[in-house]
Amino acid sequence: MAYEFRKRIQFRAGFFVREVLNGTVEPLVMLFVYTALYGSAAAAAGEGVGTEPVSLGGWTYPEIIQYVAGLVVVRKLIFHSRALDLATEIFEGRVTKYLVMPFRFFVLHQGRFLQFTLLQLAVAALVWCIGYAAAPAYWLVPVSVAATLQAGVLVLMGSYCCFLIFFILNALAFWLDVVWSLLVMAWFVIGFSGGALVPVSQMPAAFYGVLSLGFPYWMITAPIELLMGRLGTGDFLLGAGLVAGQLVALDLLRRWVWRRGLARYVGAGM
Amino acid sequence: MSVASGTKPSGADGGPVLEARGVRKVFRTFERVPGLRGILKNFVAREHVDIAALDGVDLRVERGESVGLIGANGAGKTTLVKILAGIVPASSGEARLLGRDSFDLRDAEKRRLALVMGQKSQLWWDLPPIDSFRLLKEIYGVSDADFAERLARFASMLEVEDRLKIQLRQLSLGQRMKMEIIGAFLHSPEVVFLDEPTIGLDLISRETIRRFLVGLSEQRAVTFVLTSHDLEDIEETCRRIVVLDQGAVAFDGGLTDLSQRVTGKRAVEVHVHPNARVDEEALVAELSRHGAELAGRSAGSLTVIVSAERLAELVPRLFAMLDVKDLSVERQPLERLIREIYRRGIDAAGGGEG
Amino acid sequence: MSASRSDQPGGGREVGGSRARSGWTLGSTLRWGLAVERQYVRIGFVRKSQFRVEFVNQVLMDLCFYAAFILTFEILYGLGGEGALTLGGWSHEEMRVYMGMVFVADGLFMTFLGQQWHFGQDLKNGNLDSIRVRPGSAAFLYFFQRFSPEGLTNLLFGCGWLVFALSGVVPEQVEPLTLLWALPCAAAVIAWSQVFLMLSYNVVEFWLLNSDVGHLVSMLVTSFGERPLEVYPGAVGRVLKFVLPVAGMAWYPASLVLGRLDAGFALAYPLLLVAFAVLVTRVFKRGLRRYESAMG
Repeated sequence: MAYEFRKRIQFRAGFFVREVLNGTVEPLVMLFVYTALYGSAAAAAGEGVGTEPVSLGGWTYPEIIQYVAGLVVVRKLIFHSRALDLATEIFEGRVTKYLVMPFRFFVLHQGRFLQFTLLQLAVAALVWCIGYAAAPAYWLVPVSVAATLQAGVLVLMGSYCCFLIFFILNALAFWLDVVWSLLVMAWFVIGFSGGALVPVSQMPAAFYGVLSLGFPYWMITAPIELLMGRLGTGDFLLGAGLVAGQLVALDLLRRWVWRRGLARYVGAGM
Repeated sequence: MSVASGTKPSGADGGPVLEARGVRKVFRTFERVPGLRGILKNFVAREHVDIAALDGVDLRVERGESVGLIGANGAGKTTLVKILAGIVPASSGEARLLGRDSFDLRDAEKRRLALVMGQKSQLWWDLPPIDSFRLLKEIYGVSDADFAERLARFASMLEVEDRLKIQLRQLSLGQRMKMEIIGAFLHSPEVVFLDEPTIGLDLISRETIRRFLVGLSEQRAVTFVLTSHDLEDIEETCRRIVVLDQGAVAFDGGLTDLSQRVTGKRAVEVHVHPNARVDEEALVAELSRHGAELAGRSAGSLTVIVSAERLAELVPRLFAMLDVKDLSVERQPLERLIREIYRRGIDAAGGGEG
Repeated sequence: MSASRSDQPGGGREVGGSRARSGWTLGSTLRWGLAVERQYVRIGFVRKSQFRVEFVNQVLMDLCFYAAFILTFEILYGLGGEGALTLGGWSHEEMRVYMGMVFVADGLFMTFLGQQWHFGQDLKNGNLDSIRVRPGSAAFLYFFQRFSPEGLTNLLFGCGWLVFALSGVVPEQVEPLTLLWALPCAAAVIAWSQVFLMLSYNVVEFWLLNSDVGHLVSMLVTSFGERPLEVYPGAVGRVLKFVLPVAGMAWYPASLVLGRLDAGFALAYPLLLVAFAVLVTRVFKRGLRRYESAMG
């Protein structure tokens, strides 16, 4: 019976872990940290946790809980470097067969982005429903349909920027033996500067001033704030413009790197 | 070139070096149903199937024996090697190595054991072999002097002295396999499992490796278990042959036994003038009168299979019927014997003529 | 460790070396382990000398992780003004020491145990065959085989941060002499915990082949352990101390150095870690029975 159980969840457990649980650990841990932090602030101010609006960096405790809830859902939609195996294809010389096909190689990878996004939209919806069913009083409920759409657009544009960055870093396999560390590093930077650990708008003003210019902020913190009603349509338009500009720049860089890399491609044994 | 085996002393404790009694190995997997519905079905309710890789194998190998394990793909050769070497446990039955349960070997037994896998490198891919050998030296506790002496000797025997400091991945397939073999022998093992060590190698590399194995076997009472699809490997290095068919032992005996028991036949290669006319109908009729059969035919040659006892009566008839330019008689090639076993089963084959 | 000079096997002679001849002793096992580890270290440096860009990238990668970690807590503590906030009773200065322990634990892990990321895949692909036929602990031979010079570099950075953090609590909170015994004890507990926690995460793979559950548990537990356990609800904290003792990774060492533990607990907890190690090792050996290699 134990054997049967093991076999039944083998690989399916992997699917659940990789696709559903991925990206939930950090927000969960930060939730506990914030609870302790706000508890400390409330104690210092002589108040109880969650009952009084103690504000730290412009965020109250209930808002932070909603932020963490939003973070869990938003992270499901952000393109993950694991969804690309371009570097392996380059190392093993498997790009060759695609180069002779009557379409651009990049289109295949755009298809992967689309496939990832469609699957993750379903996963994100599932996670939101589970969260709402479990804790309706604390869970993030969007202020309006328009805000949801605006947040969705910003997250997907940011996710496409991530996709382009991961594509570019993978393409460095034309020159480098190992690129996975670059991918991990990129995520550390994107995650931190986007607000995956601390909302960017809770950071000191100097940090906020710089980070709010980058697409990671508009991919993580800003969409959640839109859903919460802390930001409005004007902010959305500003963000969409900024991210669109960075998206174009990244795509140009992607084309340049790919062309230069392809010139070095020898088929196998890179 | 074959290695004498039967006269070597048995294990130190008097028992066999390797022993399998009723060994079964069952792998469980699930059937993948194609299509979208299949994907959902695979995810929700899978149907499992049990695959018996081994089905009651009995085997006893004495010290110094060189045993060739033969079988078609999926016959269970590698699984048997893995069970005997203690890599995986048997589903049922008993496997013992050096007198101890194979899956529960202590360090003392593992130091007397080595494994070479033709399709899986045990050395570091991106390191020169010499670095991997130094690691193996420490793992097996080989002294500096022994290490230096053996490495030099083995490298010389396998003709790779000048390749020890080159990254493994930059070596040819044959050189890589030679390095694997050196690594396996550095600690002077008593029992060596070689799982398809010559797969994909060129003729020269295969010959060098065979020579190396035979040389070591002749000098020392090493017990070899060799699996290979290349029957020449088996013929040249092993005196005893175990044929596995669908997870069971189809034949276990000496090469000569196999030859005699299955057919005891000879292959007669008759070279005739390319333009000479051969009355094939009459020839086949004549051959059948002598219990022989025409096994192959080309423009300038014919291959006739006949039992050893009736060879003498057939050869003059061939000279009489054909314009013979040359004629050679050989023991029936092992490949043909094995094919016979697979085709007919050992009992049927053994009960056949000759 | 010297072997028999003769390479003639048979006749009951042990060919493996003095260890096999003289029987098992803790000393001989340790000497053997150190000799093998020395080779792993050498191999690690040889490999990395061939991939210099990879070396730099991986150092930078971990430094990014450290920087994000430090910045996060500097920002959080900064939200309430100087000295106003604590995290589960941990002051800003104490939290810096805690982070130092986290970095040391991470550095040790990355230096010696990086192979664990491949365990699920190696199990699935049957890559443990050669380890299974070699003498010595299969877990040691497998998990320690990938020594990482870049991990060592980051371990040095982590140590540097720890020294900086300790300068904030010495001598006001911690006597300098205390550090002489507390720091080595802390380092030993960190190393011990990391090894056996890692083993415990990976035994899952024997039962849930290639499921990434081991990775998730590793990530989950490590992330929890990277914050002071007092921030978690009581039951979660107790699990992290007594069931899956991730407290040994940073909480216990930092608490020990900072004098936050009572003597009884400080002495008893290492015993719990030993018991955990014995249990995990047994489960790992049992798990090895499930290894199916790759069908051949």
